[in-house]
Amino acid sequence: MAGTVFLLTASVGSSIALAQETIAPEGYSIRTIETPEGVRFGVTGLDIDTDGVVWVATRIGDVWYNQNGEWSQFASGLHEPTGLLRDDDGSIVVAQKPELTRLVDVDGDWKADEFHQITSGFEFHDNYHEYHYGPLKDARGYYYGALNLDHRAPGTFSLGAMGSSGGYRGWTYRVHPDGTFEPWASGMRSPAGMGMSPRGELFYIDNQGDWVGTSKLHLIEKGKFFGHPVSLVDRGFSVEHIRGATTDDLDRLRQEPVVWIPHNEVANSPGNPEWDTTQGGFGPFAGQIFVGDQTQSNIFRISLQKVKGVYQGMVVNFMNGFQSGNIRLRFHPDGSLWVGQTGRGWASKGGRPYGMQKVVWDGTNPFEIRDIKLTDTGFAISFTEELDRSLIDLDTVSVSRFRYPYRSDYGSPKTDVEHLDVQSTHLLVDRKTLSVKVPLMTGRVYEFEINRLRSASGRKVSVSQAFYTVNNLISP
Amino acid sequence: MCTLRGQVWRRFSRAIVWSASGALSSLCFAELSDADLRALSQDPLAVAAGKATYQSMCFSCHGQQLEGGTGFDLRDGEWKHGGNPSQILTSIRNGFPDKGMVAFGAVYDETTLNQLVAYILTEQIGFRGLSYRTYENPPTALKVSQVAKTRASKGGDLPMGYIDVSLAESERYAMVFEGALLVPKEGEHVLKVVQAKEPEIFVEIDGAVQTPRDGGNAELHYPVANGQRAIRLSYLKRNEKSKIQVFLQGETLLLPLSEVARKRMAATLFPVTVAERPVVVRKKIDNLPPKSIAVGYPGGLNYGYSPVTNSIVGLWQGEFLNIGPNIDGRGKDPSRIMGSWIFFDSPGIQLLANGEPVEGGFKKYAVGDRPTFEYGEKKRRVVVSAEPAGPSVMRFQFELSGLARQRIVLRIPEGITIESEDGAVLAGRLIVDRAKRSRFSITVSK
Repeated sequence: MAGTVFLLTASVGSSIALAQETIAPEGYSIRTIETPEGVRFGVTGLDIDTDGVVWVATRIGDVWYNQNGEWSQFASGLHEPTGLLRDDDGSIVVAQKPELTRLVDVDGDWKADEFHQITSGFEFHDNYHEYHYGPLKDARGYYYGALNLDHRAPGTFSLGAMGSSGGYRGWTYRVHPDGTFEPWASGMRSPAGMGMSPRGELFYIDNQGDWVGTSKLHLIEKGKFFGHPVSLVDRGFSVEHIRGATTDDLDRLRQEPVVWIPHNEVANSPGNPEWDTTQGGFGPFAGQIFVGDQTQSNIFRISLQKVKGVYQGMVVNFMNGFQSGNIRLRFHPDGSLWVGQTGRGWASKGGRPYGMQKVVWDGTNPFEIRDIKLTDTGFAISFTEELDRSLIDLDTVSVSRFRYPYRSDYGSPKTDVEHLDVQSTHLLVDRKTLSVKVPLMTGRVYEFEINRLRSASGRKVSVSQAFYTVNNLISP
Repeated sequence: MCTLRGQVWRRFSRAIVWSASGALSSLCFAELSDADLRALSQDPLAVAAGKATYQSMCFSCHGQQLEGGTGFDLRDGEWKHGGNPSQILTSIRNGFPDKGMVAFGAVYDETTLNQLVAYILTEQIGFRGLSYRTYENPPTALKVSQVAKTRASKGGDLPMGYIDVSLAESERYAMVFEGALLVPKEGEHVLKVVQAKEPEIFVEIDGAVQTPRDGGNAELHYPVANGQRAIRLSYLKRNEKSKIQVFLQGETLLLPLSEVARKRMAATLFPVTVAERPVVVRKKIDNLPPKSIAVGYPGGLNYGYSPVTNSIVGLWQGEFLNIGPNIDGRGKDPSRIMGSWIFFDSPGIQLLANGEPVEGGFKKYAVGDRPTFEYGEKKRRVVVSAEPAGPSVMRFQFELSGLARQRIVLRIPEGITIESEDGAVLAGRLIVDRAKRSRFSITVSK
């Protein structure tokens, strides 16, 4: 194949150091939100209403709201909630371990009086890892949640690290407006974040581990299977049948992710995908997805492209140096990005056990990779400012590609790594976009490294590495 | 006036038998020796009397099960003021007024104090006479089962009774711990070893090699019989990450047996206290089924409700909950009640209509001065609530709609007492009077 210089099967760790360097796009800064003194404020559920009231569910089981800078407690006593939605009627819907619950303030004193069970149609076996994510609500009033597998529960069915004792562990479910519980999709391992696109499509992010080579973003559609086999016990397969299935058998059932999120270089334990709907209020990345990572204490971006009806796209680091593990993101109506944090049980680079911060943008246009899109012949890499054309040549962008095999192991190195010859690099008429011609194939993650590039004003990008997952090609 | 009962007394101190007439009353206050007190602890009547005294007074500071509260744990081998029976007696008699413990010698006569010590002695649990040996840099081929037969680098006593693997000095080492383990006289118990990989641990109980059960969460469980057991635990540290915590665990007991376990438990104390209003908490709770909801009342009476079976699955007296273990680290361990159980059972106290649970499932709970739980269908609803009716008696109220034509029966777990003016208790069931099918109440006690 033209352009293929050599083939490697081992992991390439050239950019691991990058994740430890400070990444601070110009114009963006981190502000720490003061949380109630003496309260364990691990924020694992976060929503912000149109009035700017910030609602959080904490890992210890409280619900708090922040109005005009003041925190007040709305409820307590929940079982390790990991998701919160402020519903249209003003009630608060919480995904806690045993059930999906609606918290209702009956007498209008801004305290929850009643805790309604929306659904408990799944099983919870008291295993610490049986987290419950979500909830999301679609335009027709259906709620969606996702159920983590267990970890070493007694008697569980496991083919690696994580297991299921049944009851739709490893599934997405939906609840009808009349309360009916409906299993929706399976094969999830640790779906630590769910999100709904502005178009109403449902996505989730899984965490690297057994059967998950690296963390990944999936589009959730009814009946689909995302790869973790133990969840199949609730799809009519016996344990013996699943144990007897080959990896190839399971692979045929499986959906490819929308994007792969390279381990260590970008994320280890990513949370919810949050769409930038600020229409420029948060800088030049409108429409893209922001995601926080619990381990790396960073935030990265995802930009989607639909090619022949299938989503794929770019993953690139955005910012790091947060104080704790970033697990929940939500945009505030004022354009700032609020970050819910926990560092308990799984260490975070930030080091603090819990907290909240927000990212604010001061209007300065940063110089960064804005987006990467697949083209007929390669990729269009766009930047946020016009480029210094004198520095552009064939070495401006280095490109390699690799894949993550589907297998039972806990995580995967980059496999079939190829460094590619760039056939041409040229600047498009907008002076912000590089068109890079390289050999293309599906089933690969392309890795880009930007070298020596400067903006027209002489600035360097703070993140020079980006990735693009190719599921489909534009031309056959 | 000497109030000792000669019958009990005579067995333990012949020297004083002749004094039963009271002629030499001063002798009645002659202090018993350690041996006398230990002998007294073998007498069921004296122990029962001591227990009654304990439960009338001492429990409020030292806990229903002597597990400690504002006062020290009285079961373990750690005695701040001396653990010999006569030293314990002196501590009770003289008290520690500056620390908040009155001199009970001024409250109780000597007989009562002796009985109290006898009772405390019978409740002792944990290691006694624990010793250790270390093996620094053992040969790599050494198996953990062979460690105890190898020449030790050093050794010594562990008077506090906690296994301590930090006493070794090398990166690689093996250790052997030996001692008498006092296991409660009733119930099933396991020696629980956490975060161990099986090859690193080798346990012998009363000289027999033990095969552990997998307790999940990297726990090894070694069943251990009641009473005093000879334990030998060999430990081979294979790598940097090897570390163990050791506990004695029973249905209602979690006693640390190692330094790391002791520190871990101390660090995982996070009590949920109840002040003026009832508190409702959902957590993983030891002895209650998954998804249970706990309600704690001012005054120290608490219950557990299962929204799965819509039934009362536990009732306990004393402080509410320590959720610390369930919110520490990854939260693998259950919250624990801080008092003592009146009962726990699943499905527990459950309402049956025409022999079946009411259909429709759990709907909601409401918090406030009197938390309520509501379940059923639109046309057939049940609302359950409770209020304390005494220090150890809870009154539960059931409000029913749409069920007047059905035969309403409450399933009653064994071992508890249910009283009701609204029905008849028969063969482990309360049959609710026809006229009370819209509203009835019961009281529950031990």
